[in-house]
Amino acid sequence: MQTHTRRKIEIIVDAPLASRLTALIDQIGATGYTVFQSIGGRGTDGAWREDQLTSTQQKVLIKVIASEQTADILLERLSGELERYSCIIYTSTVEVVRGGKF
Amino acid sequence: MIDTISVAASNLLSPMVLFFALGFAAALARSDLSIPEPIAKAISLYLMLAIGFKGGAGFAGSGISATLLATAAAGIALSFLLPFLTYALARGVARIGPIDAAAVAAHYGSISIVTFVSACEFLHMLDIPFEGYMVAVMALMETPAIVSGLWLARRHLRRPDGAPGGGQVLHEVFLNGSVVLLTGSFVIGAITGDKGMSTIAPFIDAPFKGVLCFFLLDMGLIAANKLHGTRTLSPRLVLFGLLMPLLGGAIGIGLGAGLGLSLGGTALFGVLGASASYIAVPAAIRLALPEANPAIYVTLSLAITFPFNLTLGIPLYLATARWLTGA
Repeated sequence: MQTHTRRKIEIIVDAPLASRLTALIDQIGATGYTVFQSIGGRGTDGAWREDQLTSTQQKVLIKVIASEQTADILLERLSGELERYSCIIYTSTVEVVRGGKF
Repeated sequence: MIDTISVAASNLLSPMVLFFALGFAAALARSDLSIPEPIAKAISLYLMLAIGFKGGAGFAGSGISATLLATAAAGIALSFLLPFLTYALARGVARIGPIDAAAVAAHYGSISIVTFVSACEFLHMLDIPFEGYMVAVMALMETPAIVSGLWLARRHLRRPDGAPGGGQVLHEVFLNGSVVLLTGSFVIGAITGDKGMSTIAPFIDAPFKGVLCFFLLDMGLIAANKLHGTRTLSPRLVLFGLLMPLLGGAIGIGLGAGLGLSLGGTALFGVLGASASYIAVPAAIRLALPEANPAIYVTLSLAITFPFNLTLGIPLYLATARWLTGA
């Protein structure tokens, strides 16, 4: 079965800021993204949970699959926002089935 | 004096405060009692819908007056200006950085709907009437403070790409969910008046107190969890979180008395001045001012100021309003 190599970028960010990042992802021209909810966690700022009424510190996970070039552009634009948005960004290489989709 | 103490005691022994205390104690004892976030969000939407509608229906009975317009204007002005005082105190007393101070300023200039609602129930319990349009004043006071907070922060921001679409931020801020729901419900209540009230009273009137108790239980859990999980709390921050509501409350009471509001209205204006938002403003500030540290502003308004206002503040502001207006 033929698969194609693409890059996956994952971003963990506070829920209120997710729309900013997804707008950026759209702007750069990635074909799509998916946003996932989370339950809890702990970071340098302290611990947080999902049942805390204000979604201010609740994290979501944004996954993007893109070509090598798009991924590079995205990473460069996003790392500018790292400090400001206190988000975590990491990337990996994946094999997708429908190469034309990404 | 004795009367004030007995009034304060009756507040502390009301079901609402007791449920708050239960949640607080449960979280401190590390119980796993927890209310799912969607439910808490739904309850807060219910409270906004109900209080907005009730305020509007009450207003429909009394109509527009000069006092109403003056109070609304005073409320908006207070929301715009209180952040500046808050900023100065946050820098001076709490010794926090300029951007964090600006974020905190936005919170204390804004209002807490639940604190207001709890104060209304407290006044009902004591048979003290208040102007129905105070709900509208509250809705108007929610967002101007955010604008002031952002303005205070602008000199300290290092943004290579400039402010992220300033117009878009303001659009999100002024059209945020709670403002839309509160104001919309108020307008609907004003339009449908008594007839509308009697139609939906079984949903928004009878269950209201019980639902508020349930919500305050969750608030107690959340406040205690925040305190437990925080690493940013210092004695100076706690002092600020207790001092700022007293100052804001005093200014609100003074304004209310000066405007000639009733005893209840003056006390409520004090509550509005003293309260700090912990649902709507934190989310707006997280979006508009991501450089600010949410651990500071959320913990301050949710874990320190809100519990203080709920337990001791409300009776204190009523007593002060009584003393000032001579009622």
